[in-house]
Amino acid sequence: METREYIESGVLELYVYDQLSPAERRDVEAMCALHPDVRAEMEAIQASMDAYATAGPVQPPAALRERILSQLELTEAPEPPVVKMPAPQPSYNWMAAAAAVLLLVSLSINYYQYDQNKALNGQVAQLQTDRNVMADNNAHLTKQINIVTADLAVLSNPANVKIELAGLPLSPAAKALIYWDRQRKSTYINTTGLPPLAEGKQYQLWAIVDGKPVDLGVLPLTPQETILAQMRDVSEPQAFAITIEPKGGSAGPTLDQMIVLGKM
Amino acid sequence: MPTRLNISEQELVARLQRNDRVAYEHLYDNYSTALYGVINRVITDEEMACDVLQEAFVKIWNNIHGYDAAKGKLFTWMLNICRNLAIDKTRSKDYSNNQKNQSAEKSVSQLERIHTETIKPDQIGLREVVGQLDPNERFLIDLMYFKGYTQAEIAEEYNMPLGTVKTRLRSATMNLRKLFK
Repeated sequence: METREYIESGVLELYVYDQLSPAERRDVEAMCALHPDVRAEMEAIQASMDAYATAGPVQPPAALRERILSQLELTEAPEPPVVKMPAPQPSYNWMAAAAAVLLLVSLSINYYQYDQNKALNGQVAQLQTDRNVMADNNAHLTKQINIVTADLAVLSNPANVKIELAGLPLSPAAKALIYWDRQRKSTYINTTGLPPLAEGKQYQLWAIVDGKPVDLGVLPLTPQETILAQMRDVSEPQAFAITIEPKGGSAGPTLDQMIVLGKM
Repeated sequence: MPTRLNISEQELVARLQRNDRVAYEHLYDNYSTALYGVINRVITDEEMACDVLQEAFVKIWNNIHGYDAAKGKLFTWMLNICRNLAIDKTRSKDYSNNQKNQSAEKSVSQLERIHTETIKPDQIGLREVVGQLDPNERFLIDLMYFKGYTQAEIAEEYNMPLGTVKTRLRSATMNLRKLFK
């Protein structure tokens, strides 16, 4: 996903202005968790909106403070216990001095540990965020690997025959690749070399068997995540061809709309 | 003496979640003027604005366990609670009865005028900021952010193409960012 495009779509503003449905809000939150640059942009928009919203602070009436605080069920923070110490005896001066030193040492250790603890808390939060981001990335990569593995299985199958379909006068630069499995008779196609279609049109694949066209199905309208699309099986094809047909396909090929052709 | 704690936001949230009185005093003493200012941008009636601030604090207290720092700052979260409660209030029956005499006609310029006049004398900072924004853009932001309109409602009510609303909104946000860098 191109994050720049996402940012420029204006969806982050709509999030800040509360214009999105709960599902759309969750999408935006997921994008922010996944992409630091999207998150930074969101924070910048939010910060400017917060600043605009609070540009005119107003002091509430003084009595409101108690009225509000008394509405909440709050607990008093426990006061640190006061420990009464017996008055030091003059003869114990050295003990008091030693105790003071020990206390000082203990306090500095406490302080050091408190500091460490604070730093660790921050690190834990950061690590949790990092972990979530990595888990998301991992899920995405796993999906990609599955797709590529499936494509690779087809490409590396020794039973496959590769047929190049070349462009016809209708669109000389167009091309497509067929992998036909001569054992299982299955057909796979890579159509990245075909030009985009006008609205309402769809590509349809045909095999020529015994000189007659056999419908192998229409190609998907939206771009697929896989490189190869599986089409209908065919036995003993002599050639493959693709035509441009009305959306949904036709019963027979429209011959003057044939865009690529390849013989076995 | 106002309460001021010198602690991180993370620590503050933890203490709020424990119902710690000092933490709530800190929250009130440090944020109530900003939050009350936001409420005043939506509602002008003092009694109602006070009620909204009270409801907001009760809601913050009730929902503090649901606050998720990953989704934004504590202050933004509180601000949105106040803003949404205030907008809800303007849609309630009491409010519309109160305002009936005002709603006879709804032209852009009239709403604009009402809005400018609702700035209180002590909101000097706001007057300055408002003066630097394009009136049309500010009006659009305020309708959405403080009056709770959707883009489609604005387009319909003010007879603007939805596309214009969207482009203007984007440019308004850009300008806001320049102003509050």
